[in-house]
Amino acid sequence: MQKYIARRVLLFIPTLLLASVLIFGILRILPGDVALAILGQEAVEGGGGYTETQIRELREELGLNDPLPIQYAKWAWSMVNGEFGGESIRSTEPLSSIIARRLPVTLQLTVYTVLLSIIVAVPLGVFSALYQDKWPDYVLRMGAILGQSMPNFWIALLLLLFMVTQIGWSPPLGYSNIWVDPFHHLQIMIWPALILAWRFSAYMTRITRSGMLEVLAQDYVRTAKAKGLGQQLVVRRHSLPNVLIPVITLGGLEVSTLLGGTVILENLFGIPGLGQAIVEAAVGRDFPVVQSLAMMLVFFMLGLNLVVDIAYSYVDPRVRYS
Amino acid sequence: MAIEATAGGQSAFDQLVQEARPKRTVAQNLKRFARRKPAGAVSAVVLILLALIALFAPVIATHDPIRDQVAAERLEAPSSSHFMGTDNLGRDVFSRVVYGARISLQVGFLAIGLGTVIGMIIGVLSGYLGGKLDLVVQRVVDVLMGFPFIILAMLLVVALGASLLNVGIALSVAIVPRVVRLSRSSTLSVKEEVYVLAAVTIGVSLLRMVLRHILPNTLGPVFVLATGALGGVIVAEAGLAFLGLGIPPPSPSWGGMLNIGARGYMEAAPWMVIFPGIALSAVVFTFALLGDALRDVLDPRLRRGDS
Repeated sequence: MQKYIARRVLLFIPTLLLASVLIFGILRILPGDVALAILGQEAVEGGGGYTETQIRELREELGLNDPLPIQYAKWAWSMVNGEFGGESIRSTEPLSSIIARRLPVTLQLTVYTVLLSIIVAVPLGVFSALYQDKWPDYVLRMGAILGQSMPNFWIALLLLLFMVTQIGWSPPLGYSNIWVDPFHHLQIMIWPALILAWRFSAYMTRITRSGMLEVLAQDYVRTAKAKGLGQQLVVRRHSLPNVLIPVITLGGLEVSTLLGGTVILENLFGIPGLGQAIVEAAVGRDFPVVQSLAMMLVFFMLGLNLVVDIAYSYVDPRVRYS
Repeated sequence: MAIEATAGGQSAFDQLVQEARPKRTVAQNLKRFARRKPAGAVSAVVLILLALIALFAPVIATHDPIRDQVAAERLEAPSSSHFMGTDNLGRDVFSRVVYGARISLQVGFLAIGLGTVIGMIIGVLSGYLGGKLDLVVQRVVDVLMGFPFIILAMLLVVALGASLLNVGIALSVAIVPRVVRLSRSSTLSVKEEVYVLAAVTIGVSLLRMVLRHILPNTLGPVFVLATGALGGVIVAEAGLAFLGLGIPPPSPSWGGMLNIGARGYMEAAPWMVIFPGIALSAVVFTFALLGDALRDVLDPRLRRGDS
């Protein structure tokens, strides 16, 4: 066991290094350089031009005069020592403060989504399995396919449209911290969480259903039924606990796929998380922010996978030896 | 029975196989597909229609999607002159949706085509040659799979600049790791087949081996993956345009039509967001259906009983 964990953790370090090289490299494919791109954008927006000295100063400020390996090393080290690549070019806010402010928001949104999904998906999955290939099963599967085909930002637009025109209410503008004004906070966060949960719970329902079908075919379930236990007891005592552990770990592996939807919905609902920040930075060509936030997001995704893998190896010993 | 090669290069064994397997024309094969997989057949027809709409967009569209801006006809409800109403600049939504099919399909096929070809070359070579190359490729693929799809595409669009071609390239890079992984794993299993060993024994060159013996046998699953991924790529393109990072504004991209900008007019002109969204969802849904049907037909592992 320790050996397995040690191996996975040791493998994690080169993976992160490789990811950081890729992110750094992609942002250097840019024809010309970052300084030119930034000044060009500002000139377009402000309507003026820019001078040679401005370019030279900006290059100096961004450390673009260093050779690439040195630039990379400086950036990589700053990711470790907590500076996270300096500050935003646009707002001059340090990245450490951007991350400290926005990371909790994205995490909260993810937690709400996962909680909602589990609450919805587990009962539905069990239900679907008990009525295998009868109409409730078909209805649920159709709902899942529908949820997967409709882009989440379109669902969100339709939801907003429906709320405004039909019930005359829309989520309040402006975000509140959960500790300051929990009611206001939830009024904003519940909608993106619900929309993300639709797709996520479709996946969770499917794995609960197949896990449940597998368990229901086991001998001990037949034994339980044979000794006269009711359906409820068989499901709750004998089947569900055996299904839940793999469902939760498999679900955990899939949590990282939520990130794409989070990025889009944070922007649509005006939620100040990491996703909103990286899109704002990408639109405004704020390269240090794009680079460091992309690294943070990839770090969380890979880190989450690592944690879930290790957790899964506790549950299912076969994983350790493969 | 002795198996001898005949003059035509066809052995008696080949003839036996020919007799055992009924020969079918393309039309017969299509008919079989339609009978076995009605949903798949319907989605194929819908997609052909979509391709025709994209191809003949100038004929079908009633207005110019970009230039026809009539200030007096802003935010008009659907009518006989504007089937899907007009947007905030007085442009005809129907025409923009029709032209949008072009953009979606262009980006989709560009990204999938490029991503599949590159991914297959890397995947097959890495699987067949093995060794250090395989190790390096594996690591890079693992890391790229760890990138959220949209973040990777976003980084590339920021680096390359937003245009139809660049968005296609960015999304193709996001596809590559998936194709590499799949074609590598099918290469590994094909590699163990007796016919590959036979080809090695008679001294077939690397190029011929890969092109004639390995590649054709890995095509099926990759084709299924590509079909299924097309829908995802089209949504990703729309997502980027929605965020303002995709194909820049005047172009009638479905995602761009749903852009944050449209939100302000949504209450006054709901048709501005309803129709592009329906088009987008319908396309994704049909690609998903077609992908499912193709998987059942082409993926031998899932084939049950029937041929």
